[in-house]
Amino acid sequence: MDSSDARQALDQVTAAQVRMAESVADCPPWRHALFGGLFFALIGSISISSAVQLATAPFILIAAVLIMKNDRRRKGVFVNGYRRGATLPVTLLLVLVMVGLVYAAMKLRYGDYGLGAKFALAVLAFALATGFSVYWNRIFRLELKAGAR
Amino acid sequence: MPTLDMVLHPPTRLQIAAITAKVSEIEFAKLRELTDVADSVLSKHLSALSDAGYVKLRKAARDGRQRTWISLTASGRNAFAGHIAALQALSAGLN
Repeated sequence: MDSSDARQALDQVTAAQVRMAESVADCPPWRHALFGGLFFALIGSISISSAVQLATAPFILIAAVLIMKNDRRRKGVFVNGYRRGATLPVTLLLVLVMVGLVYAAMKLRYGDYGLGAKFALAVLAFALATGFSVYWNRIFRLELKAGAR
Repeated sequence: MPTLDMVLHPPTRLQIAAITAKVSEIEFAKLRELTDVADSVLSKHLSALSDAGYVKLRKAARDGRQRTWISLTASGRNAFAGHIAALQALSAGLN
């Protein structure tokens, strides 16, 4: 194999990953919103009371599993959010932000705050999680399109 | 200096590795669509990669039919990374 063959092989790798970016990494807006919805429910329930949090947790878990199953069915692939690659820093930043939101939700639960403040925090969680989902997907597509050259 | 991996040398196997390296799991039909090869050809290459320990095949039922899901193993990821590094070195004229 010479340098021309090697370049051709690398081009094949890039072409395969670009095809995948177009076929698999095309995520519809409702899917990003669903991801945000999970965090709306999570942060909102934590901020209200432990009873509401416990009652809501199974539904959030079931919803997360259903979203994952739907992704597999629609796309024929499963991509772990914690995969190594350019998306990992985005995932870790989301975890960090969500830990901050959980802390804020606990403050609201035990402080003298009304439902309006708790709803506002849940809306903020929805907006941030949806934004992270869109950004994660964009970075994933860029990584795929960068290929191997 | 990284060396070429002869298991990954055939273009279809290299494409399979390139695709599976970017996802956790991919269904056989989707992989066939992306590699644009016949079922039998894809099966043959997957068998070779599986025999080398580079991919893991998992059967799962859906809508009453058996589906095969493919994932790249840790050994497959290392082999693919090494093969790409060797190709990049060759391409840059380092070998």
